[in-house]
Amino acid sequence: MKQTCGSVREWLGAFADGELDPGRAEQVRVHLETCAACRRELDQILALHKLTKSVEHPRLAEDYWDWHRAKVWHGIHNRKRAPMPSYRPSFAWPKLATAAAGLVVVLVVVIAGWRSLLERPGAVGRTLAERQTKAVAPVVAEPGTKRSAEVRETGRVTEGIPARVEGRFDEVAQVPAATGRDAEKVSIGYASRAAGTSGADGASKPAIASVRSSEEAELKVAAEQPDNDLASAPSGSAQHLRSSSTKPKGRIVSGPVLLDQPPLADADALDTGTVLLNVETDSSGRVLSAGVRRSSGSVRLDSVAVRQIRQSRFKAAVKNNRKVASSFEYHFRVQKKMDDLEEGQNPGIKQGPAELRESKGQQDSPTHGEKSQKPDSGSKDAPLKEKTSK
Amino acid sequence: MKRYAASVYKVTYGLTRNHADADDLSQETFIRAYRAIARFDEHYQFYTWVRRIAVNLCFNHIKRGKKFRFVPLPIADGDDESADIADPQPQSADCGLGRDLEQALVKLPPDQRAVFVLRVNEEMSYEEISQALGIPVGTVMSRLNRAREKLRELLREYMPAT
Repeated sequence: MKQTCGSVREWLGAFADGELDPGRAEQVRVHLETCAACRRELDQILALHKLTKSVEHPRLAEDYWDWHRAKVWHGIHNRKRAPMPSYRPSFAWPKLATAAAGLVVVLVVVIAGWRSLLERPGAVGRTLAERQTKAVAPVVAEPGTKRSAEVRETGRVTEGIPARVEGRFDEVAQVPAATGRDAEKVSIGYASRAAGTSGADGASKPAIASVRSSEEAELKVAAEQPDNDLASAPSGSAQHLRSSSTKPKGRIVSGPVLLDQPPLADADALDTGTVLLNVETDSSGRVLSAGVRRSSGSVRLDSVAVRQIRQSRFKAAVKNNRKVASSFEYHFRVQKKMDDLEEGQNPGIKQGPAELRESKGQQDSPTHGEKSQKPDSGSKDAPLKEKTSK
Repeated sequence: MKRYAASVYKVTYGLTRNHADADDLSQETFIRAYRAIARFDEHYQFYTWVRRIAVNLCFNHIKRGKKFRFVPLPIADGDDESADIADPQPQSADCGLGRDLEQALVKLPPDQRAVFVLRVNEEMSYEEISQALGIPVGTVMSRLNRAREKLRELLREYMPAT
């Protein structure tokens, strides 16, 4: 088969190097006999090889190789050997152990995330709380008062609100059916983490469902407002109970309730906002410690809140008819008086205690109605009024 | 060793076109060979084995883009064997063809230059080059053809008239 110049020139280099197989080399040889251009091409390749071989590399001094040998021996004897690769077993169980450990970590993270989701105000319990609210109208009773609760609902609770309380209060209290008669025995209200609506009366106060527990105790579960802002338990009752793990477990009949708080000084009411505090009380209701859990954004307001709550007094929590120590979370809120807002004052300017107002809940509360300078617990109406005043 | 050292230096210089690199790489070649002598197969020629080490070192060096350079060994106190030995510089290359060929080879891409040098200077077969560089024989052929075309163009004045 006659080859074209194009294909032959691709093989000329290998032909010149003697690397072509005999059959193809013969084809190239036949083509070269008849093609002068390809012969010149081959001559050029051979000339290039000859040219390249004719040039010597840099000529080195005679003693270079002695020096070279000395350097090599120096390197052999003085350079540190590369570290041996560490032994790594190739069988499978370490991989399985790693995978199992990873699985455990993932499970722990998922469980922790679920728990934190449950503990977040209004996160998961809201749906249940809403269902509860549909079934049971809120009891208009003030936490911390001895007044009987008034039950307005006629239905029965089919599914309880999980009032999640940890540690000593570590029970998920299933809210059983509440009737008016039973609910009259309720004396203390808890604020639940489970968010709910405010109830049929549309009040901004927390919806409080009466609970008839198994024994002599009744547990009142107060759901939060839908805006996740722990509501406004008038008089600043214990909003969110959280126990210390050192305390014995058992059913809590009543949680700590704020009884008394010193009036807010003029200089302390310069900022508005809400501080979430961690509070610990002893069995007499005395505040043992208080710290900021979630800042209001104002250091001044945070310190005022801590100071105020340390000077406050609570009604001790009761468990099995005995007063016990407790720890819980407390929302301390300072809000401007609505009258000042309506007059167009800047709520951010200095305001004295007279400019503070009590929430509707506080006014309703016979226990705290006279505490005119207590930090306001905020209501749904307040932001609306602020808007309209602007 | 001197015979092998010169040959290895020729390989390393041919691939790097740089005396300093060639010097370091040729020394490193013998150090590696000494440490790996237990793995040497006596069925093969010693130089073939050492040259393979040198080519691998040079190619690794080229692949690093000259970011990596061998650091001169520290001379220990009292190490008279090498402390007093100066580094003799190579004598200047011939002018004319030698210089032009040097410049032409430097202008070649490293992969083409390596194939060309191993074939022409070292007279390695395509199969040996293929194994040394880890590339197919067809790639060796194509790189050789491209290298020849460029060198013929760069060294046109030394080529016979077509």
